[in-house]
Amino acid sequence: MGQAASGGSGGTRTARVESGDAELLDRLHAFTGHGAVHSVFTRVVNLLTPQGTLIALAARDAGDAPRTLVVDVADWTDLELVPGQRVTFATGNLCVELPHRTVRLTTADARRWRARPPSLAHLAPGALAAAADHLDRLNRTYGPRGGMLGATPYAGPMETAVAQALDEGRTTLIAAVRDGRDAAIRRGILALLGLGPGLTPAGDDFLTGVAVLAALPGSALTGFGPALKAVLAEHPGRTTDLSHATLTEAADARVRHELVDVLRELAHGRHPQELNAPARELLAIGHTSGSDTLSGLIAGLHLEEELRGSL
Amino acid sequence: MSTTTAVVRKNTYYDSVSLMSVSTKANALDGVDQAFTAMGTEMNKGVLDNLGLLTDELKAAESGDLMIVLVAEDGADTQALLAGIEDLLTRKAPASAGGGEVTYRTITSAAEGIDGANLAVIAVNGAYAAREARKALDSGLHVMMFSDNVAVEDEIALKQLAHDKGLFMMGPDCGTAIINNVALCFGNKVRPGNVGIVAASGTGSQEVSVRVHALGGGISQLIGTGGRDLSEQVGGIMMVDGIRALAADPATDVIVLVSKPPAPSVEKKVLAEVAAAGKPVVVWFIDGSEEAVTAAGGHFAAGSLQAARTAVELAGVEQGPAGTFDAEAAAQAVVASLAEGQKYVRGLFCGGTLCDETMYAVRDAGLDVWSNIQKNADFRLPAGSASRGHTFLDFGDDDFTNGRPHPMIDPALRIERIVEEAKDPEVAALVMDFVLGFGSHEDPVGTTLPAIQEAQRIAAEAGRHLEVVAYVLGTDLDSPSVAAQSDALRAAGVTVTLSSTETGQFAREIAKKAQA
Repeated sequence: MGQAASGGSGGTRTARVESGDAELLDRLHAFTGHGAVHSVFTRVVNLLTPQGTLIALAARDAGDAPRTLVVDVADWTDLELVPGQRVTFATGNLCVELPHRTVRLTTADARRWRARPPSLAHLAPGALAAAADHLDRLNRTYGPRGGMLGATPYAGPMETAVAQALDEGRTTLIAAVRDGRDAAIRRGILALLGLGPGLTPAGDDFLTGVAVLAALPGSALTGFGPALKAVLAEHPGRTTDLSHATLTEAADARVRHELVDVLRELAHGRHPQELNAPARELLAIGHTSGSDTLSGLIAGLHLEEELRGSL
Repeated sequence: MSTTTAVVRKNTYYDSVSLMSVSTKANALDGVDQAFTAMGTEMNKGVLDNLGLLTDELKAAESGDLMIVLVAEDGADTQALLAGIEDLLTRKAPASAGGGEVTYRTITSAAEGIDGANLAVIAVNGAYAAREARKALDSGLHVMMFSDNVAVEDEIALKQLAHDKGLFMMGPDCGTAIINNVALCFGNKVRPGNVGIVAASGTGSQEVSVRVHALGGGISQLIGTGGRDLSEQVGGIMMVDGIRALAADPATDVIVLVSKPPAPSVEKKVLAEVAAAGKPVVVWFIDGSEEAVTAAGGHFAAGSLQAARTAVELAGVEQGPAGTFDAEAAAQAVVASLAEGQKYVRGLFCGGTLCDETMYAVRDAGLDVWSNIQKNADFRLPAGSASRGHTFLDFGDDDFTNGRPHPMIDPALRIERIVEEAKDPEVAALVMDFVLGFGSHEDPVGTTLPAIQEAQRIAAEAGRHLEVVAYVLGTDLDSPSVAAQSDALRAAGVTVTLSSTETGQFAREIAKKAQA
């Protein structure tokens, strides 16, 4: 753990929360009682609150995201956290109880981060198309294969089959959003939800990219958000907990900072080249997660262009 | 007949990068026909069902469970293979302190806790690197900073602070160093000896060190400065301190400087140090001029091989007979097998200096060369662009690495490009490098060979011969060894060159003759 975790009496250490999802910070006081460690990664620890909500503690390099507190630590490796460990949520602070010590997080000085990107309603269909084309070129140049961009050159049968299913799922979903009928969109979502080997499956990442666009004020993808929310409510076990939480937030236009930065740049409406830097940051997420999310965003932008044009 | 075995780990989570890495390594295990790891979602189980791989155990998996699917070759020990895959997963689990190892939470406590510690390697995000480096210097530690994206103002302040304290501040963006025979970050296993190197170029310094080794010499110290050290702003603070340190080092008899040409005011300062060193100094300023170096009493080298040869000679090491590579004759044989319209060379490099050396060799023959690292803006090719004419790409440049591992660690982008280039009927030859050593990919040739073979197949089906030329930077002491990697390339019909300089000569001759 980083140097900001300071020693204290009785085996208690304090670590400062540098920044946090403003909506989570506002709700944190309501989480009282005992929760648990859900999953542990080098830079992120996921916790279940007493109410069963999944939230994340990120190391300082991991960046802001919905339901996430960014803590001034380098990583979480030396705490030897294991899933199932007890976490106490008390008003004003949050304690992770370990066999030999307690880590107390203080949120008093945390910078409040807003997860919501701006509306793109002011952009003309032509600008959306130009941005989508540019992002597509970036994705195909820098994005890794293995997800929505297709199988890697020497993929085995399993990866090839997943890639084919992803491609079919995308086609089904795009046709369904064009069609606009709720039942068709739900089928399209179910063709992708939970598809892909990773913790946030590639199909879900694609859906995240479409979902955030659909949830922005003025979006023409009106049927997508309600359909996604309904599918997530009706099929809670269809994908991983983490991905379910990510999609639930995306359906309310709340996404991690790399995607917010791309959408902010889109909203500026400047030359597409200005998208290069934020798009590269987005592409760096996970193995194919960033690229898959960008693929969803690109598909969503094309749909926005088409559907606005048909109004 | 192959057998399918599956294991389900309840409520087990690995990040996607780890899962992909484990799948790749598992598929490379002897006896594995296919291996696959995935979360147990309905959709993933559906895909397995379609492939006839859905066992009863997998059917019961839930979306929070990790599925490990193994299709083993006939006769393979499936339990041993599964244990091997589980071991790969375990190794990916977050590290914890144990087995007598102590994990320090701060540089300051590590400096206090490790008796005799005198150097810190910093590889954190650039936004935090300067802060950590300052703490290290304040704790009396030399610093090697692998991190990039550090503000130049911070670099100047840190280097000045280190200079005032009599410490080294190697970096930011310093990828290679060998200190007291220990290679740090990207470095090769070379023989200890009396040649010292100060370098602002990572792969340039690696190339000189492995050539010195191959010629029978050895390295006393290899001090990296970071690529920006010889800029006008930074003023060569680390290069000057490095030269002075090697000048004072009794184990160093010859000094080699490696860098792109410095800013004029800095060149003057550095050459003044060359004149005052009291030891022979070989200067390889890549694409630089001879006159100023010679005037300062330095030994000018026009390329990496000449730099190494001159250094070894000055160090008093007896060299074997010089190689007699006839680039012109070799290129003539290649060109004779080309089809009509095949006229361009495409260089796909991991090492920036290796790319530079080959690119400049072709350019110096009077040919137009396009590159993402071209100094001439008229011939600069952005990273996402298709190749034009003779194109040389440095996949290690910021354009390609922003948000991705360096291609010496993860060559995926280059692998895709190899296949792409083969589809172009105007391409006569692909030229590439493989960099071995500490920190590099454990089998760069093995992971790239399928793409090379695919490229050769594409060309052959179109009735073309595609010449593939490769240089393996490494030593006989590296693991894997340069010989093993070169043999694997030769077995696939690849022409293996023996130095960066020779690679440039061969590429130049092919380009000249193919375009004639």
